[in-house]
Amino acid sequence: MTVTPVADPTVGNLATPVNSSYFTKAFINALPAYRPSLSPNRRGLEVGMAHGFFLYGPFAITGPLRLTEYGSTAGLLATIGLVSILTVCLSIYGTAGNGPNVQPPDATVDNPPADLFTKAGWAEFASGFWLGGCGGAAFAWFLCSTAIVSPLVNIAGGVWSAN
Amino acid sequence: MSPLAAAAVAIQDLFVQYRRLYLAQAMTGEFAAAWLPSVFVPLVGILTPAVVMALLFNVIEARD
Repeated sequence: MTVTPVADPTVGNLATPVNSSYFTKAFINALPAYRPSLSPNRRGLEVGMAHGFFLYGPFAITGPLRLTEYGSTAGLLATIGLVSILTVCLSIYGTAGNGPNVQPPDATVDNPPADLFTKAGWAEFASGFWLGGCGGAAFAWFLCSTAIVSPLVNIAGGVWSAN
Repeated sequence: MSPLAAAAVAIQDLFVQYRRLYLAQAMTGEFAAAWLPSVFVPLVGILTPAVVMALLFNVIEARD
C-alpha cells in the first residue's frame, strides 16, 4: 500500500494507508453517517443511540449523586440533558447560513450521502439523534440495574468513591 | 364595650400588626435572598450564554 495522489497530482490530496486502506474504508463507510441507503432520521437514531448509551456511564458512576440511591436516576436525567443540548447544537448548525456543509467525496468516502447534508435532512438527523440518545440512555440505565451488569457498575463505582 | 370584646379587639390588632411585620420582613430581604440566587445563577451563567451563543452563531453564519 503506497501513498498516491487521489486525483490531480498537483492538488495536495493523497491516498495513504491511514485514509484509504481496506480496514479504514470498510470501517468508516460502515458507520451510520456514511452507510449507504439510510434515511437521515435513521442515521441520527443510530448515532444518538450510541452516544446516549455511552454517556450514561460517566454521569451515573462519577456524578455528584453517585453515592446516593438517586445516582442512576440522576445519571439518566443528566444524559438526557446533555443529549438535548447536543441536539440543539445540531439543529442550529443545520439552520445557520446555507445549511450544513456538503462533504465532498474523498479518499475514504467515495460518495457521502447527499440527502443528509441539506437543511431538511440535517433537521431529520437531529431529531433522530435526540430520540436515539434518550433511548440509548434509558437502555443503559435499564441494563445497569439488572443483576448481570450491576456488579460491574459497583466495581467501576469503587474506583471513584469512598465505599 | 364589654371587657371581653375589648380583649378580642386588642388581640386582633396585635395579630394584624404581627402579620404585617412578619409578611413585610418576609417579602423583602430574607425570603428573596433564600431562593433568588438558585434561580438567577443558572439563568445568568448557563441559560443566557446558551441562548446568546445560539443567536450569535446564526448571525455570524448568515449568508445573505
